[in-house]
Amino acid sequence: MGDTHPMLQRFGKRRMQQVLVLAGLLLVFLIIHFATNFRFLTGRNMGIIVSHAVIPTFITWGLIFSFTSGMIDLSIGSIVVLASNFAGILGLKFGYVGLILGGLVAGVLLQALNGFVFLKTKIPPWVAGLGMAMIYESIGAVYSTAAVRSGGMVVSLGSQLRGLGQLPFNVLMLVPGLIAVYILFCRTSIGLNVRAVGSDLRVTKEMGIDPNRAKFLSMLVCGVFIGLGSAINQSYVGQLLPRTGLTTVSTIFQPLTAVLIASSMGAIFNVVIGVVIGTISLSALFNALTLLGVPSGTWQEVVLGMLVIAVTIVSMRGEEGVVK
Amino acid sequence: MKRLSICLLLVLLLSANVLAADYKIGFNNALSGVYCLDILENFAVYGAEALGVDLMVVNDEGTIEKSISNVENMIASGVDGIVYFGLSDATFAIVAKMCADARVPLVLYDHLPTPDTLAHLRNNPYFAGAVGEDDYDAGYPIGEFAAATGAKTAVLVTGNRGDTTHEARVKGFTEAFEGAGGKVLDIAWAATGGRAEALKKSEDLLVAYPDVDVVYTTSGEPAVATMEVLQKYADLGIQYYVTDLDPPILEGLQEGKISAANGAHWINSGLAVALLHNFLEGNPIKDANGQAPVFHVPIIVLEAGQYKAYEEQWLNNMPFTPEEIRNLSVKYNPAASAESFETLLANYSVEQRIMDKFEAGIITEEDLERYGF
Repeated sequence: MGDTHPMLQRFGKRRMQQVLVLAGLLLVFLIIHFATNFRFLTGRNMGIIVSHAVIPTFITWGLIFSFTSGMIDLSIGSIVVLASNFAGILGLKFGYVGLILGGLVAGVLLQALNGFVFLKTKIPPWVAGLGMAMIYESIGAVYSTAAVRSGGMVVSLGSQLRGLGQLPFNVLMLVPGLIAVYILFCRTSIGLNVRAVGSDLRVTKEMGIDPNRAKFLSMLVCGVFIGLGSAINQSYVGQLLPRTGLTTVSTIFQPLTAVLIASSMGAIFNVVIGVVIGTISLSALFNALTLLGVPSGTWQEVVLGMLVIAVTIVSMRGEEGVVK
Repeated sequence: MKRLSICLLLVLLLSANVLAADYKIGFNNALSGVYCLDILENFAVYGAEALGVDLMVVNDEGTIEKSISNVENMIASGVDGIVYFGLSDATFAIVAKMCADARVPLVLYDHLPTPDTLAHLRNNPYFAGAVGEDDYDAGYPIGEFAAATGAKTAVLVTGNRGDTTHEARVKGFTEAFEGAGGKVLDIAWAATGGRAEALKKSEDLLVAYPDVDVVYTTSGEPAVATMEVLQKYADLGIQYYVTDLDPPILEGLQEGKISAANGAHWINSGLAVALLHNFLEGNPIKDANGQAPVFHVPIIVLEAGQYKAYEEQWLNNMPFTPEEIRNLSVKYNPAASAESFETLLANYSVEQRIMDKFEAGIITEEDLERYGF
């Protein structure tokens, strides 16, 4: 054993950690399964849990591009609302092609607009993002009010085009999504540049990378995944009502928690895989708490809050001043 | 000089509508984008147009702070009166004082004050009354009805903790259902944060309680989500009840996905505008005790067969004609009084409205047949 190559040793150690994490999760799931009178680990419930995780997964994959490059955009939720509605409108005209293209076009264009505003104004992205969220929410509200005034509501798919958001197609969408995000984030210059910009801006410039270009590209790629998530979302919910008052900002909370979970496991899993584990874990958490009879609206949120604090501590281990 | 003249002309043109209107009335939408609130705004606009007043609509964005600052802004902009939706009972006294200080009359719509708050408000000479419904009365009959079918267990899908509307509906249902021997097994709170959230919460709830007899959702938007989830569990024969009569709910009723639905959509906001209009016209409406009145809008229970009538005469048209709205104001009807409002509300049901419209020649005999009357 002593003669093993250090690379192999590190690989073996990492693989062991991965197995331990997954085994730990499985153990927790088994305990919940017994505690819930064998209702947790059923095929149907697992399908529901994974299905609930699909949309947050796409949004979180988008977020890892923008967040890694330092573009913390709080308007994501409002973009999802507009992109979902646009996807619905095109979907009713052109079928699934319209649904997906509508989401993609709206997602990419709105993220491009955000990127332009963030980079040109040079104000902190989270501040500018709040402003953009208010604008997008207002556009949605104007559309909704106009629809109500004419005796209707915002676009609804009814029973059409609902397959994409349902099992098994929504879960199947995770596979090409996972491959695409892995290639983009880990195997292309876009991902490399994004990670470089997020790590050290000075070094990035010395490497000849244009930080603004990298950040803008990260927003565009983020827009692709937000757009895809929006198309699936529209298919899943059928109709998405626009809201104002920055209510859409809370949409980012679950993906943000998933990013934190992925970061906390960064040494064990690739962040792209970590996101999937994170979103599925969150979906499983709420499902399990409901099965266990934990009241929603109060104690379930307490548990989520505690989880956020816990994974933030884990993900920030080693940083100065943070509890070990 | 030329530019100044053009500017003046533009200002005059833009304000022509305002100048033409008798009064400018401030109106708050608690959260634009929520269908049941937008529909209230819609009827208020309709009522204001019928009465010839200009309605200034503000969006409170779901927050009490914004709601109060919006009242300040409306007063500052010179409104003649305010029609106000209170997100919390605590805001009524604050807003009423602000209105009294500014000598601006106030009418509450949709959310009614508690008895203590109402007693306090009635000491305020600028409190002109309230038009709304008791949310407890929305949940209670559903609970009674569900229990009467022999159902023994129920789960609820509802809004946020602390939201007076949903807390009252949940309380009403629970007291009626449990009073008749049933048991509410669980309540999924905070399901009004969007359709996706409601879908997840409803699905988790049904996995946890697959043997439940009844599901009741207290609001339109999550109700559509719950309805979709229940379709996956159609084999379980779960009864489904809803409060709020949003268009997809009506479709669900028609398709037999919903056992019954109720709601008081539409009219309280427009009637509140009419109530305020009387005050502004120097005819403050008083109840039998000589106090500012509180008018309760009956909760409409909609059966599946009434879908077509509701769709055509509520969704695609307005339930009341402009003439009927004008009859509530002393400006157009010198005999307008509290009794005018009470009579109109006492006859507010799907059947009666349809028959009234038929007698007024608005709908034909063929329409009646199509509606199943």
